[in-house]
Amino acid sequence: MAVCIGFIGKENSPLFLRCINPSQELQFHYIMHTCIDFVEEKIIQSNKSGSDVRELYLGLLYSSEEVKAYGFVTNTKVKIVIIIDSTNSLLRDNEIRAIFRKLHNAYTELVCNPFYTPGDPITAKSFSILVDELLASSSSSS
Amino acid sequence: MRSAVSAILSSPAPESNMSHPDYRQTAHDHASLLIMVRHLGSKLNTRNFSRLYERISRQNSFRIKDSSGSVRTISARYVRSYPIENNEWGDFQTHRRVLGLICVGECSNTQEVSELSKIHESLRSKFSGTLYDSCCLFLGLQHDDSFNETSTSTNYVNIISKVVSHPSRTLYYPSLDKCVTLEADLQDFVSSLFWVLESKRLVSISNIDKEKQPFLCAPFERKDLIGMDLESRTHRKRCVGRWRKQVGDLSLQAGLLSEALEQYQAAADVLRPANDWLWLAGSFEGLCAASIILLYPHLRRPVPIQRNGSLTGEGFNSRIRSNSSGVGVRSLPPDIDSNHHFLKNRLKFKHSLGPDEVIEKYHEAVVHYSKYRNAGVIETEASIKAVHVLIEQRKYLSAAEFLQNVVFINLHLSDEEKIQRFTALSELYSQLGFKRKSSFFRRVSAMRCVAPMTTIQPNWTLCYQLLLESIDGYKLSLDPALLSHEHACGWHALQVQILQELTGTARRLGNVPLAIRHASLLVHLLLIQQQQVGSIPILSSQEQAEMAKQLDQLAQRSEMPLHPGPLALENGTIIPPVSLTLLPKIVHFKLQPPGAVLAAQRLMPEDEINNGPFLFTPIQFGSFRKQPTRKTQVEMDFQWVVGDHCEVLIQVINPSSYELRITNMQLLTEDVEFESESTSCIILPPAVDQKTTPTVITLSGIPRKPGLLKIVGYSMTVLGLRNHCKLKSAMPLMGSAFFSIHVVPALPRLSVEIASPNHTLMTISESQSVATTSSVQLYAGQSTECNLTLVNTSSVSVESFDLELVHGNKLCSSQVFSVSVDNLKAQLPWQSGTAVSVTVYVQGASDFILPAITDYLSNLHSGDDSNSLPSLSGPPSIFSRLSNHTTVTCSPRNKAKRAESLVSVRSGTSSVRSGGSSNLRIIECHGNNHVVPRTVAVLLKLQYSGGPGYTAGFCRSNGVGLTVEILPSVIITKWDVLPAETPSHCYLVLDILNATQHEMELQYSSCKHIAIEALDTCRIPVPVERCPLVKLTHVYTEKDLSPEQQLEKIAKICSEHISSLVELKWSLSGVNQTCKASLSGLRIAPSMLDLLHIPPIQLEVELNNEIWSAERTEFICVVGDVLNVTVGLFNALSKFLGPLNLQISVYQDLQNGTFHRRLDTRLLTIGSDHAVLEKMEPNSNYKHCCGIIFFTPGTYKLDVVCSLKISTQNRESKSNLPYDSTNEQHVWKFVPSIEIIVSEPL
Repeated sequence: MAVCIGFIGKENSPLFLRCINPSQELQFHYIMHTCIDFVEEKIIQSNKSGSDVRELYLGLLYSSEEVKAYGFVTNTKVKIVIIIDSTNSLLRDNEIRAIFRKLHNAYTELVCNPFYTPGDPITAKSFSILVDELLASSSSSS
Repeated sequence: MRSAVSAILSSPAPESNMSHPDYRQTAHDHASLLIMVRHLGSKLNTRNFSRLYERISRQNSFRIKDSSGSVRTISARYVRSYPIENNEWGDFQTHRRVLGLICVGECSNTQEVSELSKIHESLRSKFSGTLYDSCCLFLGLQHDDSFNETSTSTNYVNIISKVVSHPSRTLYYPSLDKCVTLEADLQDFVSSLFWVLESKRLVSISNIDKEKQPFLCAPFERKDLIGMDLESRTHRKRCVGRWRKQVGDLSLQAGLLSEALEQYQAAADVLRPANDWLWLAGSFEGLCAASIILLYPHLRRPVPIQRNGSLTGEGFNSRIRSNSSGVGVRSLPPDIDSNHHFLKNRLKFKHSLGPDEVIEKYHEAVVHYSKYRNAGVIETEASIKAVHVLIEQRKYLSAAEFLQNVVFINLHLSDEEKIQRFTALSELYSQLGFKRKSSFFRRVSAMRCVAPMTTIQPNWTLCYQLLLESIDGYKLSLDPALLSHEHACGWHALQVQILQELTGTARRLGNVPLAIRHASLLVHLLLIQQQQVGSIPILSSQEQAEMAKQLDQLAQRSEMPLHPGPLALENGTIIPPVSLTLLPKIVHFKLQPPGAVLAAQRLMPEDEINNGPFLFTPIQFGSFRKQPTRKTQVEMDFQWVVGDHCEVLIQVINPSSYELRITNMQLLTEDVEFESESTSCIILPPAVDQKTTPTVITLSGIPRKPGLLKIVGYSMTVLGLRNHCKLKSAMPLMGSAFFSIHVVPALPRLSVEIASPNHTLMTISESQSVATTSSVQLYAGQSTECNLTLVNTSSVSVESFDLELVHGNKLCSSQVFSVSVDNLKAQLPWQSGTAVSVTVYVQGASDFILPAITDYLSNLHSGDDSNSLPSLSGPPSIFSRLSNHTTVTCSPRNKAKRAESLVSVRSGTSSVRSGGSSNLRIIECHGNNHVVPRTVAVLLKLQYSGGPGYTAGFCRSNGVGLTVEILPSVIITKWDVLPAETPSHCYLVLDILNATQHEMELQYSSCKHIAIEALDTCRIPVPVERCPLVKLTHVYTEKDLSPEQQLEKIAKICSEHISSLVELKWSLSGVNQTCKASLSGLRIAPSMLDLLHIPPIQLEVELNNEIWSAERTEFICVVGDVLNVTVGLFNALSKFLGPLNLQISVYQDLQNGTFHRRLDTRLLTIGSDHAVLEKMEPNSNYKHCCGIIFFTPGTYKLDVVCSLKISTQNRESKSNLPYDSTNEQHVWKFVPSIEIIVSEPL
């Protein structure tokens, strides 16, 4: 059950953050923020391996008693982080990958919009509706 | 073995689990001897103790020769305090045992010595189970004394021996600085420890092979012993395995690495099948530790460095800087390096582990430890040791995994220890390079310090300190200058959060200035975030307003004036100043040039000063050097003057949603003394959905010294805070840190007052930038004077003064204005407060003649239209009458036609029409122009200087504009000349328009007055003496003149003659001043000329041999009688004239404007009524006679006209034209006409 989805820009500034429970937003901010450390490190590691094709899915970044954070990084170094409620570990890796793919597609579409400057905080309505739907569906499916 | 159980149970084990993890433990600590150094008594101050402790701590490696003669390296680890619970774990890991105790105290007498010795003894007994040796170190006593058999020192020994049950080592030093033997003594002490250790090790080794080893166990295991089958095989194995493990520990401490590795390996081999996970993990850890010592010999615990003693809290002592761990210092990658070590060591130490194996084993160990709830501390420490190794191996992700595991280890810790734990975690994360994670934990620990549910007293200081350290990870900086560069990648929500927490903590600390500093940074940050494109505001505008309000309240709460400079905290942290440069935001900053009146000017133009030879070179020397300087400063092209009020205009916008109350806004300047004046204002927030319009604020001040003034910013109080805003940060786009402007030495200041004739005083205010103007209304012909009062309002005396009239239209205004300043200059210098006055004379000079007629050409052509006098009033001039009936072709209309046809020959009648209308138009517009008031302006340019500015070559100039509106008063619209009753005079008939709005009293000759209504026209005859021939003779006698030129000259002379004679004086009912109107510029038509001057041919008429004189009005004759008319001509010129045409004509004036000339039936002329003289010699006479017989009685008039045909060379060429040039003749008429009354014969 995904509780929060976040997009982090190339320079590690937040682009978009949406969570189910708005009162927890600050907490998720903290988690996302600390996740960047792991993402950065993982990117460095994968760069060292030297392979051209980089795995975009970064896997588990962080886990605590309550939540687990999974990461994904696009080729333009935009990071996507999904935070999942640890208590409900029904979501499998494959499903998480599927969510990431959808999010990535949504982001790609957003960037195609000529009125959006990459790197700016995302305010597009259609995008946020899409993310909301994903959040809702992933939480209802589990 | 049951008895053994009871023995174990009886032993006091108050706390079975170790609860004090050492977050800085390294693998190397496994091989060191733990020595506790304690501070005794209060006499030795903490600082000295710390110095001594550090000195001791540096001695952490000793080389000791063992019994076999080989050198062993023994390392020692010193602690200031050690929890007894940890000591209990000494069986499990021998390096946790306190082996040595050093007590340090200062004393001067025996009593103190005994007291300290008691404390020492109690400490010793506390750790007696593990202590190998102890030592007392006394400062303040002479060591030598004890050997010199002085009574005192022996006393000490005695006392100590009394107190201490078995005497331990005692060291005496006179003072901290004089303990030269300290290092040697330590060596002794450690070697004594070593020997005990060595002996124990040897005993232990010998015990391995024996049947019964004691069952070693960790503190928490003791209670599990109950009911355990001590005879079982497993238990046996455990005993052996554990024993071997301890031997390994001892060997490691004793400096025997290979021995230790062997024992650990053996222990692991035994323990694994025995399922003794705790001890298996212990032996793995030992294995790892030994391997690490081999692989990474540099991974020691760093020697404590000298630090600020004031740094508070135990937690801080264990902290090191993230960079000091030596990560990445070496050039070789750690893997290669350690592998190299490993391969080298593998040969020597066959059980040693490789770099990856170490991690593997650690991992295994941690997994095993985690099976025991009470082994949390051991697990934590093992994890941390692994992290250190992983950092060394640069495997940060794995290290993070280990750390993550540490977080989850459930430890029963006190709150203080929890804080320590988080701080340590934060420290480790920062060593990993995980700044965000590090900051997160630092913040967590900070929050722990003040958590409401804790048992400890909230420690706000520590909390603040920790929070302050955490800001780095959030890309937040306390320096607003750095903030703006990096803020883009920061997480706004978190930044706002941490700043709010900092503010709150500072408030709780009671440090209001600090709280204000953070709160203002928060406000600043919010504004920065607000400016970012597309950013979602973290706080609503209401919350922001609330924040600002809080800040304001905070500012009011602090009693002392807030210092805008950097704030230094107690621990040495400097909090940089925060200037609210965005509140309000400066959009425009402009130095105002002084008003034109006050601007300093160079007395001499600059190019006159540098009048060296002009050389041009395309090479620009020093252009590269100059460019950067130009970028950094903006220099003004005007100057300010010392003592003057100078202004800077700034445009600001309020970016916030709340009202801004700015007070005490001042300029910040450098280099030159400048007296800033403060201003205050309130800037309202922009209305919703409305574009922000900048508010203009004027900052002013007075420069006090000349020089180059730098304006670097402004200061203000906003939200109750004093801000020093530098331009560098307030306007980063300006590209310059300051504006610079030259300040010129003091110059005097003159205020100018104009007393205009209408008595309206106009004072020129000093700030006015444009020259003052004063406006005067005058009627044409009127005159007045303006008084200029100059007052020196400055304290500098005026030493030089100049006044110049600058005319807009030189011709016009120079007639109007005149001034003299010579006597003013004589009064120089004018001291402060002196008032002088200048009089400007203003003359309402104007043309009184309607220009339509004054224009000679248009006069010629348009004479017959509206302007021609004859068409308006009945009898025109005699000439026109004459020309009308004698020569048809001389009609001006025809002339006009001719002119038109000359212009456009091919056009037919249409051209005539259009020509006529265009003529008309010209007249109209001319007429309009003249009636419209005329404005003449002049600029009185005052240039003055004095004081130091004068010597520096500067002056001031003040321009006073005077505008005179000259209203039309008397306008002569038309004029003509009529013959007078006497030949010596003529009448100048003028149509005078009163163009004013008042009734006008006009005096046109010495005794004649007329009143003219407003805008009314009156015709007045002015008797004028005809122009004497003397004035004209030269025109006639001059040879080279064409007739046109001749006419023109005569006309000019006549015009001057008239204007010299005729002066119209007029006064208006409203203005009690007599004004004059001159007739200068009156253009005389050629037709009028002959009447205007005395003709060169003088006519004399004799009727019946009686000379007709002007006095006679009529001549009476009888019907049928012959009237003899004799006309005498006299050429008064000294030049011949001719051909002359003399004409005698008789007509009847019907008194209704018509003349009856066809008198064939009424009279008969005897002889010729005309005569033609081809030539008349100078000064010659000619007489012509004829007779007239009247047939019918009546009144007749007789005209005698002599006309002179002007011969021209081009006469012939012109003669083929349809008209004759007969008008080009002078016509002289005998005036007045002779009236003949013919009566019936009696």
